Amino acid sequence: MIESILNVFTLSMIFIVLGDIIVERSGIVNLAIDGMVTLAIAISYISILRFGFIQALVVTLVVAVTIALIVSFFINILHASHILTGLSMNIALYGVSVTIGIALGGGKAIRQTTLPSIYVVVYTVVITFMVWYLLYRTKVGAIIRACGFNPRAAETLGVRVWRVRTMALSIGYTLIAIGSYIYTTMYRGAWLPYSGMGSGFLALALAMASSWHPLLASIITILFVYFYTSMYILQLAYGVSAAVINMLPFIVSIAIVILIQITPIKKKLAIPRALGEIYFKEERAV
Amino acid sequence: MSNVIRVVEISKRFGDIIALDNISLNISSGEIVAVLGENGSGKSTLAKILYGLYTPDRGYIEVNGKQQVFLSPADAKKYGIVMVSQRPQLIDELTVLENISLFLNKPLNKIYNDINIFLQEFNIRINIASPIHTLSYTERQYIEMAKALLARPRLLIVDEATTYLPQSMKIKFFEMMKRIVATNGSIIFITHKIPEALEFSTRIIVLRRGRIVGEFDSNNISLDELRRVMFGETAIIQTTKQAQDIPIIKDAILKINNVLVEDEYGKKAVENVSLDVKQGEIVGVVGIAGNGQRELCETIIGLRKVKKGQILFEGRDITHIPPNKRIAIGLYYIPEDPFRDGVFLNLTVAENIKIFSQRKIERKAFQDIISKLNIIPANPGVKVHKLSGGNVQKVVLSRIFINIPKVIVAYNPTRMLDEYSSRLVASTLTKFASLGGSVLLFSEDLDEALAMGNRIAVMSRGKVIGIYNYTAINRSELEKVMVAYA
Amino acid sequence: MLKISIIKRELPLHIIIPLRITIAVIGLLISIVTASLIFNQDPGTTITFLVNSFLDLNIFRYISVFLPTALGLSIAYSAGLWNLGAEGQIVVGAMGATFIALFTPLGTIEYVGVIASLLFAFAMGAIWAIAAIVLKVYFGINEALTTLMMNYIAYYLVDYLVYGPWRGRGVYGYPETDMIPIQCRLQRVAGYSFSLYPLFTSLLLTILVFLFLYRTRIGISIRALSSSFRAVELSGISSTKLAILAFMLSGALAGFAGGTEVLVYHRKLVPGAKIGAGMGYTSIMVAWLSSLNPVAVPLSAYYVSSLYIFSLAIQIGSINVGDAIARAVIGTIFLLTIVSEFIARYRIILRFRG
Repeated sequence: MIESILNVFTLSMIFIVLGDIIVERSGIVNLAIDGMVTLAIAISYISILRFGFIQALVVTLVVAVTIALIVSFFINILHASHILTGLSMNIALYGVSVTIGIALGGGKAIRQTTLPSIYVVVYTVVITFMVWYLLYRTKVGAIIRACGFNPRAAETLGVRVWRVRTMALSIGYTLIAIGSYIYTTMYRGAWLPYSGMGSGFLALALAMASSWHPLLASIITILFVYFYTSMYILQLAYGVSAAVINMLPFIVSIAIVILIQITPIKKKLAIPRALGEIYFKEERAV
Repeated sequence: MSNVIRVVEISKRFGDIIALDNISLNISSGEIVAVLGENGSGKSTLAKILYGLYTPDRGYIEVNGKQQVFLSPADAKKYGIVMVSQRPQLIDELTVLENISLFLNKPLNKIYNDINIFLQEFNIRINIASPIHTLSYTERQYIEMAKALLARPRLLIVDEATTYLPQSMKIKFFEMMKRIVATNGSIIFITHKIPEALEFSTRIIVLRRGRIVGEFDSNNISLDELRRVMFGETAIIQTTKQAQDIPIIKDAILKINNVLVEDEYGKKAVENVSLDVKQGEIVGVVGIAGNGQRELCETIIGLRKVKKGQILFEGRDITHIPPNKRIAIGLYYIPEDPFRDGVFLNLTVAENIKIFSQRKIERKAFQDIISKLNIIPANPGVKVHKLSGGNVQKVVLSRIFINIPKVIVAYNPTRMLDEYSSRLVASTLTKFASLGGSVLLFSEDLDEALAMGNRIAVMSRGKVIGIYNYTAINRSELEKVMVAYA
Repeated sequence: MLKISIIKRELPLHIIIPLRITIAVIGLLISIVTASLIFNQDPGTTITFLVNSFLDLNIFRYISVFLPTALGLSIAYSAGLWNLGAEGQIVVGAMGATFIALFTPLGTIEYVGVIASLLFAFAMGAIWAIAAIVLKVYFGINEALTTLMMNYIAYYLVDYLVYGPWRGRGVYGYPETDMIPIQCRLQRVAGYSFSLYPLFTSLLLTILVFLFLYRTRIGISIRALSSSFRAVELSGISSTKLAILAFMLSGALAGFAGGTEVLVYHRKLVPGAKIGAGMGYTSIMVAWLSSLNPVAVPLSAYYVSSLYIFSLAIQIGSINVGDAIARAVIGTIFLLTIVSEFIARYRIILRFRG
């Protein structure tokens, strides 16, 4: 029963979505997420083949934090457009992931591990709560959100915006890497070129649909994945095409965002106003 | 070590504009140093360098005999340097408590009581668990000051933050400043108001065009002498009264009836405001900053939605038409910050003028308008971001000359300008009115409003609390009205 | 301790242009080195491959997609609006062209069929873009994220059609439509898979877009949008209409590219991801590589197309890896372009304290 609602795939997506939320709450448009997920999946796959499960997790995390630092370098030091950085990173990372995946793995299957569904539930609840607590109940969280709302005022209050954003990227990418690791080891158990491509953008859509709120995000992710996995049933029973179901999360996330914008909910769910803004400290301001 | 902080040979440029040129300054403990200068003289840049918001191109700051380069306010705060900004720099979406906690770098529960005790002492009733956006502008200024004082700074930089505070609050704030001085702290007090500088400081530094042009003991200098140093020998300002009484037969061209406007968070920003402007008349709107002037102005030019009420232009209802259509019928706008709302910095002068022009414009006309306004350099192909502030405002003004405006709405049009450009703007507006045009002038500068306006409307808490004929009121009475209800 | 601060500057054009060329050359060097190392090849051979790629006429197959798409995107980006939806706009453009060609009587009429198909492709691309910009200007919804998501909606929409109602009768289970009528196909250059008509049209469009953006009041105002929506509105021009126009044009040009893909290259409708094939995303970088100057777009389209051909040339033997390496190299070149943008706009000040 529980498995049909909350399975390992859901758990992996929740990690990725929550990671994205931490990054975007600091004001960074996280388009590099798709390349990151694709790379993290490839890395965890080959390092399981070569080393083992624990080592693979460590390698994946190290790679993720490295990518986070590169993204941070482009956005915080080079003051590049978040969007251009993300898109270029994606193209490069897709390429790198497939190159190393084929060169070092070459399509061999790995031993798949299973996670008892009670753990899936526990992990889901724990990680959701932790991210919520971090963002809304700690000083670090307030600082991260401050940078997403108004980096200039945050700087004036004494926050080093570039450091905070680098930290948010590192934490966020760590979660994204864990999600990708779960995806490889517990859900897929195999790897094909470009595995995971598109999942990152899906996570981006789900995060946006939740207006970057961790609790809402988990609920929306669970609902979507439930829908997605019951696709078979829908297809068989009602003749709904797979393409239509694939389309849904994107349509729904746009619809939810419209709903949030036109109703008073907007005032309750403070969204990061400065999302995507290139913050240059020395800008001559009023 | 009596020298707390030394500013040593600091220079700072923004593109082609030199904001500070080789500035050196010593601030001893127990001193209140006023930095006096008109807009664009570099005084705010100096404040921001001291607080680490800008990094100087050359020079350094010396604290306790050690050279420092602050890369961030976090660095400056480590040495006890704290700034109160001209406009409150707080995060709207976070609570008062969270904002102060970020600033003091202390956990929420540890500072909760301190803040409440402090606010009580000032008789400020604010729930510190509420988000900043629920506060009025003045309340935000209190929080901006409170957080700085709570940090127990050894150097407090006050960047024009007190200019528009109610008198009672100002006095309390200066008391607190004296307490800092008494405990061997020091204060840098940035202002363009000479009397304020004379009243509260021990020493006065005068800046002009990024250089120190005078340094005086506050007790041994007269207001007139300071004024001469501040503006230079040539430009002694004379506020000539150009406004005249308007024959009452003229109809109101712009009429605002019982307008109600809400801010972004659904709070009433403008309430039951009625106002009219007749042909050939200049109406000044004054009030303490943040009492609904900005919202009213934006409503009139069409950037804000009217919740209730009506705006009539030549008898036509324009309440719900967009700004661009209002311009098409002759309602023009001169913004406070020409760089942001007035021009397009990435385009050339000619391209800017082409956008402003409502009719097709000939190539020859660009050169005409440039020489008429004396825009320097006189090259239509130069990009606007290469121009100085005064010349940028001239580009803004070009729209009045190439089109046929009927009403001009101006919002603090001289606030960002130096004396020369201010006078250009003022004379353009008065000339426009003398030729039968109408001007609605929102101004934080009482002297400016009094010098130009035929009538003066006073705003407080989103309402117009009085409209006076310029002959029937003087400056001090107006000030009293302004602060009475704020 | 070392302290680093960054300030703005503006380099003159005579330095920026060599800077860009240097970056392009460094990009080529990277391609040569990676390709030689990974395939264990003599650098001389790789260079020959590369030179041949730049001379290969097949590049026009890619230019005919990149040029109009990037041209359109440069309009949206000049306005400071993020249209990331070129991929989806290409796909719905292809869908529109197929619809006219295959399912209306117009498709079998010579000339009329081609023109009607392309016009409808234009229209579909424009509609797809307008949906996102309307959400932006009326509800304040981030257009970058919506256009990105609409790419997927477009993919799956076309998938739905080719797996379902539009699936051809003679395709033996493949998810694709029947071939479009001969009257509706544009003639290819003999031996190649591109046609001269769309290429000439695109070059003509390049000039038109330049004149529009730099010589007309509306076009100049679109460029002004990137400074400030408010200031444009307060100059007497509707910023809403301008934003919609800019997006509409960029969508329409991407739709046109999609339409020509059907009329020239595929000659039928295939699943969404195969039509776009990531070229919509690459076009984004093609537009930025040209600094959003319409006249420079043909050059950057040529450069990127050559790299595409090069990636095809080096992937003989191991198809997947070649494609992947090409992506890695192209991505790196784009990242280098971003670095060059930084060099052109900022200056670093190093200071030693104490």
